[in-house]
Amino acid sequence: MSALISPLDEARENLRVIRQTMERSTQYSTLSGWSGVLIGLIALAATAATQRVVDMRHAGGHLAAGAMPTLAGIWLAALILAVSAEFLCNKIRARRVGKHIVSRLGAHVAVASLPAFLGGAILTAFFSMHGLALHICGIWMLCYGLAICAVGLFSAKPVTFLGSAFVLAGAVTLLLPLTLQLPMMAIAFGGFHIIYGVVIARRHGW
Amino acid sequence: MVAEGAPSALFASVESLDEVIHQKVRLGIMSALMASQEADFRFLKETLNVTDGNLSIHLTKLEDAGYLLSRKEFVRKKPHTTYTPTDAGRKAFHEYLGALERIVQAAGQGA
Repeated sequence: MSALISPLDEARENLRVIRQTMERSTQYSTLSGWSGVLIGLIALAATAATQRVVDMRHAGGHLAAGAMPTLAGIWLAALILAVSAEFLCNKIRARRVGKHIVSRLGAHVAVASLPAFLGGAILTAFFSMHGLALHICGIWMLCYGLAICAVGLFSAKPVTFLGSAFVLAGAVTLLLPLTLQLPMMAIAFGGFHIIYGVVIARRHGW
Repeated sequence: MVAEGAPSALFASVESLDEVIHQKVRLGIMSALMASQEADFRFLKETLNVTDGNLSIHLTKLEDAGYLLSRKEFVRKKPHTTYTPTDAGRKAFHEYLGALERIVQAAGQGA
């Protein structure tokens, strides 16, 4: 039977090569360290802006009238800036590693993260309508974390860790007093992203 | 490759392996292209961890066999070549995979 071992082993080895190469090729590896750091800084700026214009210390758990649109506006602007920064940094990185950011895989990544973002938007509207806007920070972290976890299915491990950290932070934030919502936003959206950016930069380059 | 007395199914499967794809680097190139549908020279080089010269030789062989197409252009005054698998290349890759599976099955039955 030893005569059968050679072609069998070779076939198995070749199947392993095919599987590994395909996995490497379908991994969304246009990650940029700069994008993480930039998004973190944008989030810190949004937190500072929120601190200045929105009174989050309301004892009754309700925002002052008209504060919710301001809060949503600040963070929507931050999201648009962050997505733009991510796109630009990844585009530069993609060109450097010989990939295209606009690809079938890129489309899969976008579609995978969409339900969580959509869920976040719907919950934001629901919480606002019911005067629970102050509790939205934890929900945003949870939904953002789920979106990042979905992206992590197509990407490197640090992306999944980042998503998991956001989910955990979101759960913790929902249990914390309202006065700690903004500091948690700074820690999660600011700190986590900066740490992630540095980790990615060390592993894959800026 | 296979000793006398080996089951005929196994022998036939081994004999049916496409020699163009069977080579490790070329197998890697085809696998990468089948997965990503399109890749440029640098991506293939980094994914397969091979030298420029080695990759060039194997890409040329695959192109000569009609298994992939290259598109040359200039990006910022630098040459940039993108490779895509042809229909013949996709068909050959799937047939090669089938042959590998048959080898594993035949060897399993013979064991």
